[in-house]
Amino acid sequence: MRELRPIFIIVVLLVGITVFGPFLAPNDPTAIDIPNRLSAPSEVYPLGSDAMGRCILSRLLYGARWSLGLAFLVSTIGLIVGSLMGLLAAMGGRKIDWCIMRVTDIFLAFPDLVAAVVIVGVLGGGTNSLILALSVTSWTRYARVARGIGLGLSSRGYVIQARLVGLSAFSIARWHYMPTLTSSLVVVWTGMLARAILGISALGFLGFGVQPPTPEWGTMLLDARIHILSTPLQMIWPGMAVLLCVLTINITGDVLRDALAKKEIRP
Amino acid sequence: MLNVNNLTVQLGGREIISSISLSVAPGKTLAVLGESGAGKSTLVGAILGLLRASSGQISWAGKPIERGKAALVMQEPRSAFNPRLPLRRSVLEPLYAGKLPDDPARLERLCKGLEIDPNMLDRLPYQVSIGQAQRAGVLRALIASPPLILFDEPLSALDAVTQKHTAKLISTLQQEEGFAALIVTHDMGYAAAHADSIAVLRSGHIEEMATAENFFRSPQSQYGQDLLNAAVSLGAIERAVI
Amino acid sequence: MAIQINGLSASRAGRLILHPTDLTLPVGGRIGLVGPSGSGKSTLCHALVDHLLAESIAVAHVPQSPDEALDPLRRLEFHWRQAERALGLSHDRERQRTLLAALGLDGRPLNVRPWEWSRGMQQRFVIALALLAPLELLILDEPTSALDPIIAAATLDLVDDHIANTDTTLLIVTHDLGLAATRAERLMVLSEGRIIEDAATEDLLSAPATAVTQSLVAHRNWAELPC
Repeated sequence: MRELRPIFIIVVLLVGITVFGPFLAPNDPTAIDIPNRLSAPSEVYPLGSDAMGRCILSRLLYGARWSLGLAFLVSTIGLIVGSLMGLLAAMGGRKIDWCIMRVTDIFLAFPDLVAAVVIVGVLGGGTNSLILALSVTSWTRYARVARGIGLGLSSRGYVIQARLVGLSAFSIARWHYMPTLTSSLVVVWTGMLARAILGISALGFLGFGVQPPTPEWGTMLLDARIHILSTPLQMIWPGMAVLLCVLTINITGDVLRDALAKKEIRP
Repeated sequence: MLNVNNLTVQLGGREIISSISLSVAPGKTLAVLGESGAGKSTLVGAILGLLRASSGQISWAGKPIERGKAALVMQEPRSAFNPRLPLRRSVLEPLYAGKLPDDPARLERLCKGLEIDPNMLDRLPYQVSIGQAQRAGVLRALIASPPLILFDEPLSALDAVTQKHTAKLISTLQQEEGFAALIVTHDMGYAAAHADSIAVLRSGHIEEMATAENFFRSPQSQYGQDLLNAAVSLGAIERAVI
Repeated sequence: MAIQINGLSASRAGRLILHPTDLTLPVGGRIGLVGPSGSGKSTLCHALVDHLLAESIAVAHVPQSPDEALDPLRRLEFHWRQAERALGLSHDRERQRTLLAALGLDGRPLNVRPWEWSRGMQQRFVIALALLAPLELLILDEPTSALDPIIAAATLDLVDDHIANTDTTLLIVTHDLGLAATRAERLMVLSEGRIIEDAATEDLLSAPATAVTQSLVAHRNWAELPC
């Protein structure tokens, strides 16, 4: 478990920023200070200020709640819905399996972001439609993974035995499917968390996501876009935040996958 | 009493077993002999309700077999147990499933009969030997007192000495518990030692059916004779020198 | 004349799993190596093969299942030619024909993949490959466990007939004393990495000296039939 220690620290750090970010922020993220707009990093504004003179560091820290918190929410909704659908497909017989798999085919046929933009476009912008759009586009991956592993388990001796003695479907899922599925799904979840952060930022950047003046990293990028030549730092900070989060979460997923694989092999 | 009447099973459009009829009375053992591909596992699957019969009836005491009324002992003892759960949890599963009360006295008695150290049940499946795992498999099949137990090649993963020992334990328990046993095997010797009647299965139909005594005295079919000769030639059965 | 091996041993992870063993395998003999599972039979086999190959004694080891010996993607013809090349032989249609005929595989085309044949036929094909060149020792590892009884008996009979007039020694490795006793004239009993008994079959059956052997003898077959 030693290789998991840095991962643990990173996760604590990310969760810490998401939860406690607002308490660490030096300024009000929406306080406008026109005289000091587009200022260079200073004691008052450690990372400088934006076009309306708002503190970039404070906005980043507050924004983490939106960017990371929403991503967490969205990928967890996907995890729950997707793994339930996957289990249903694996355990429910051929017809149910066929139906669920055709639905996932439809979703997988569209690139995630395109589908999300369409859904947000139809429902109108805002946080709720953002959550809905990203959840709807993410559950299919969990469903595919859960179904694949689940079908493999269905032919195992102990699952057949459980069916023979008339164990309820819920208990079979709880005792014989979930323990095996969990590790794989957690790895998928980390990957989807990183994608959700990108998705939220991308939709924010396109103007479909969290609406201003709420600080959110994608929206911050959008606002800073017109000043990229005069004050490039403004775009670099939120860009770096997205990049670092996605990178660390992806590495976390890889390390987690390797650790779990090792644990599986060692009986 | 298990009654199988004109059972036909098709898989993927191919008839795997055709018009099989057989019966097993409580306390008795029927050995279904046959080589791989003869349809033995299909027969077991159909009786357990895991496969759908194309035609024919399967009944216990005149009624269809309900879940939990027929237990199965599988060929590969280890894969019949969830590798993440201690054996005890799997062994008691039939009781949880049937919402039956725990009966420590019965568990203890069965453990004794199967020569299982009760502490062994707290280990994981891969921490015990294959022979021990298979006895735990028999324990699970017996725990909820089903009237019928099917054995699908129950000994072929075990070594020669363990095979005979395990078979004897099962046979003794059968006399105490009185369940009907249907043993599917390619091992003539096992059938010769422990079966009351024999059904020889070949490419989906019954080639010969007889009491064990009559069959081993003189098989009526050429195929039955061939199987018997092979068993003698491989040392599973010895011909007594008179 | 005999194949003589002294001090054969094997260890894994620093633990001795085959204690130093001397083996004498008489030329043309049929020998059974018997032991309960986990007694070190496969270890002894592998150590023996390595040892004999190092001394350039012609030895072949036929594994339990033909799957271990045949590549499912390659045609049987390829396996045959590969075996010939490995032995430094040129292709000889006549030898191929007689050898396959001896194992009851005559007239079957070899331009198919292994799985197009039944397991019994695959097993016999593997044995045919082993018998390509004159052999001093043929090791059959659990020859019956992957096969149905009729086929297993027929295969052993064919192998018996084929090597009857040669100097090939046959070593049958099995957990089943009943099988070894009907097929071998001498038996070695392996237990916990040591050969604990080595005697002519009849002597061993009538007077087993150790508890392990007594148990094997007592459980050697299922039933006695009147006939």
